[in-house]
Amino acid sequence: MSDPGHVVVVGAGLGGLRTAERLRAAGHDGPITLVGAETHLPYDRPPLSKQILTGAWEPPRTLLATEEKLREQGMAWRLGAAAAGLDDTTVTLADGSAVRGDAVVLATGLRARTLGGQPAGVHTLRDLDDAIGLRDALREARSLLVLGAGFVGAEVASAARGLGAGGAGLDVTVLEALPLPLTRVFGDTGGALCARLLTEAGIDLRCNTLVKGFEDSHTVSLADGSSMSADVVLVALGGTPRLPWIADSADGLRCDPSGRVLGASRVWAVGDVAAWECARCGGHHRTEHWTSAVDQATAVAHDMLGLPSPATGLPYFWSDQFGLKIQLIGRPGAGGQVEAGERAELLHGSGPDGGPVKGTVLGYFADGRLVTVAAFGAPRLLARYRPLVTAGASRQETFALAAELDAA
Amino acid sequence: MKVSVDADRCLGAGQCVLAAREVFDQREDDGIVVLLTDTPQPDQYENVREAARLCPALVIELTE
Repeated sequence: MSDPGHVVVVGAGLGGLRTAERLRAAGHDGPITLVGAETHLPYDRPPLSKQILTGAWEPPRTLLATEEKLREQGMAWRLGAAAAGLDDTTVTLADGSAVRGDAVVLATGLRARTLGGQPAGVHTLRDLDDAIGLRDALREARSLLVLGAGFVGAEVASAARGLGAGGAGLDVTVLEALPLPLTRVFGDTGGALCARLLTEAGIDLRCNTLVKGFEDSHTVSLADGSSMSADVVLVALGGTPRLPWIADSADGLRCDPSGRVLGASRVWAVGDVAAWECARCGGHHRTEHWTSAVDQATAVAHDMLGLPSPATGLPYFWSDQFGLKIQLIGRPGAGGQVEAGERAELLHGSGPDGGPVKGTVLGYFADGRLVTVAAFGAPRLLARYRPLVTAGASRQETFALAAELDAA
Repeated sequence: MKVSVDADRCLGAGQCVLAAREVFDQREDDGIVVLLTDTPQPDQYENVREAARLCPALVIELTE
């Protein structure tokens, strides 16, 4: 096993924390320093658009580690310290000080995308403080306007429908530029199911709708000349890598298949900022999935210690909205997109035929092999397809399992 | 062996159910883990260890 020396982990979110923990678990006994831009201890982001907004959880419940737990693992940490630059393996911070390491892991995550001329009173949702601000605003509000019908937009819309005086729910409008939500993830068939979840919950979903700008913090102007207002406006248009010392960081940090940043020495990257080389296609893509950050953290820890790379699991992500869980396993094409010619086929349920969305399971085939399965409120069925996606099962094997499960 | 799970952190990925069907199940709606027994039979130990290893959110804790 090799000794990486002092490891500086820049970014105290899931990817950074897990890398540090995995280094310890795999036997690194040298110094580890976690550097975080936010003042909070490492916390989990998925609840920010769900339990935090509904008030089901208070913020401390999102914490992934306590000071005591970090101390037990022999970790040092600096919070409220945004990274401003990287020189070799020395990280400079916004306050002008520096942390010198022998190896660096960049796990700074994303900052929310904003639109040009976006007023300060318009919300975005990326960090815990954003979530607390949005939660408080929704509690006072009667209407919500969401720009973007992606996962975060839909989850916030879902939470808002459950809020409001007497549980009546806020009036929610969601604007989407494309003809259907999330088609790049689920294709047209799955995207149409996502749209139905919104509309069937009483949300006014407007697709093919382009936003031109803001009139004030409650009002957007649309490309067709009209305008829309709401008590709370949320821009939910994804994020861009938080790498302030790199001029154009939208594509993230290109890394080799072990997470080593190309063109640098003793620098690795994990999570949303990292564009690892894809073993299948050779390209570099960022993957904004919770489980991907965890897998990368383990792989980087092992690579730093000169240990063999662990087997990674099947790509997996989920979204909780409108009382059900949307889940996807496998690869939805390069860069997280459904590839041209890859069509969803119905494995269970009747959502695409007008039946309930809940219970619908879609299979995606490439060259006759099962590559992806998406489930809408059918977690127990989804799990059964894991071995088939892993093995790249044929259509015949896939539909045989579907028939067997439907008969059970 | 004693098994415990932190349902707050469960992602509903279903890895544990595949690894040890006699010990873990999932809630129908959201796929959150349901522990069928916290004291599995010895012939399940290996499967339960596999489930804990595969869990992406590391929510399965074993005391052996």
